[in-house]
Amino acid sequence: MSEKRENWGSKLGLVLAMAGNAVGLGNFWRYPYQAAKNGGGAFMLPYFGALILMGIPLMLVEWSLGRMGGKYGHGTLGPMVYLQAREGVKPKTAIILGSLAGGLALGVTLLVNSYYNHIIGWTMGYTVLSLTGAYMDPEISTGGFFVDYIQNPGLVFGFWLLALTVLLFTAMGGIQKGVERMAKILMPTIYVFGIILIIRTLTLGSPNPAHPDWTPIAGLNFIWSPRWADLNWAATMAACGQIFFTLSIGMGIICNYASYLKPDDDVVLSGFTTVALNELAEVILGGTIAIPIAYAFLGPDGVGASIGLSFIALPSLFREMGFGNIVGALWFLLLSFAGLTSAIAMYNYLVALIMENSSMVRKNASIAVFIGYIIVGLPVALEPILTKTADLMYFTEVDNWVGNYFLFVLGLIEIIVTGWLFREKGLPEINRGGYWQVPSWFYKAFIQFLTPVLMIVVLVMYTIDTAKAGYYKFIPDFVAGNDVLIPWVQAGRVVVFGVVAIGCWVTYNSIKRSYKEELEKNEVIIRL
Amino acid sequence: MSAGALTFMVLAWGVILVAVVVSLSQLVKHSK
Repeated sequence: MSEKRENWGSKLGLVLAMAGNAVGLGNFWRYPYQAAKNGGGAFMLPYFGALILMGIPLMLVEWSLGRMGGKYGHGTLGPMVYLQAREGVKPKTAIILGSLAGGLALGVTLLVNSYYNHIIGWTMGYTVLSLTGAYMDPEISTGGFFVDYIQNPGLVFGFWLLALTVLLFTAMGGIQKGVERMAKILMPTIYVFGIILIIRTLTLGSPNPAHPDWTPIAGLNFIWSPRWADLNWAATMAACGQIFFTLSIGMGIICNYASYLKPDDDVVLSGFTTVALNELAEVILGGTIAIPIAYAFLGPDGVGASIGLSFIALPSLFREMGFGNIVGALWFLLLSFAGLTSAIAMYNYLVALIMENSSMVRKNASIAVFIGYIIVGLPVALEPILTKTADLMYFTEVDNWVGNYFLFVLGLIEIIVTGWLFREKGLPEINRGGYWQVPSWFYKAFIQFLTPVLMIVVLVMYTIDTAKAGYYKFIPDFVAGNDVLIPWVQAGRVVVFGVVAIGCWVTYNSIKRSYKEELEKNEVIIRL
Repeated sequence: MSAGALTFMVLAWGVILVAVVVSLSQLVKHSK
């Protein structure tokens, strides 16, 4: 374990890094698609409901868990959960919760990046291809162009390695000179690019002569009109999932960044500011670019795709607008910057994990993560190249677990540990050094009751929904009948549960090493 | 834009912008 933990250099740097941690690809391509698909303006009710009932309470809990863990030399989730859990249960039970949390966090931070870094690579590649005008010829099918891209080893590997190299050098620079410096450059740039793209979007006029009523404003009307008939249980679950994904909660990476706070640094106002800046990027910027552009050219039927919207629909539209290659490059650069700010947080979590469990210095730990990311990312790169398909089933299966299910499980563990096991000690811990104070009623009503209860409901219902959709069958419904891709799905499952098992084992040993005496006696010796 | 869409958009944007301005200004004030 490192003798002296690093700290953030400034409050501004910390908040920009935390906001960057939260602002990711999901803000710009996932949110508009979810909102348009799930009720438009009506989607905002479950969305803001999930933000207030789950997002903000969990954000405060994660900041507080992380700051407390950092005080005891921990930058990873397992020992942080252990420290609070043993205040409510015996240390030998607490270590089980800590190990599970650590295992899931390793699964998320390692495996989300088995595909997330590829998508960043695609966005970097498309930035260059936009500038060179590679897809600007109207004769080129942008769908076919995308398939050719992900089946082209040179482009896929080249830009993937470029993304990983940027992450490597950022992580090697450490917290102040790497993560914080990068956030100070990328975050303001994301907001500036977003505003430029909004101005270009809203000045598109009526680009489709056959449909003069298809305008960007009509697109805004589409995304914001409350369609109550679409507001159902699936829309509510989509809103909950979007809040977890967009705020980067249930991953351990907010806790990791918070571990570099000083013991009496504010977490309440800083955590709230992180949420506010993320929502600015998501609802205002994210909601005003992709869908209005797609609507203006394609009408209401053209907005119903997620990855396809960014990499297939929008490129086909960029070439029809003035300065299309510049607008396209700005869009993909915006996506790559947003992706990088989140990927850095996941990268740093793994660096901290290695540093805590070995004698490696930051530089070597960063190189080890680079190699680890290449290993876990290879199947995602190779699947379309080897199978000559574009279905990305390995990616889909891994994402089903680590990009969705595990976030809910991990968030539930965190809120139960703080609200139900750490109990009343959690409130002063959150409020210590706070510029704002969380009132006692909020802590009792939300963190100790509403949030954990709702999260249990969400987790149970999500499990039922995905079981009905055939996700847990030996051969899941979404790949049934496709003999070429079934092994890729099964391989994804082996990798996901193998990594989580290794993570649990590593975390168990890490906690045991740090708290050996109290685990042997099974009673709390080190008082918080 | 329809009145419903405009209402939802203005409300959501308003809440978020107020939250950003208030939290950032408080943070700057306390950081001095």
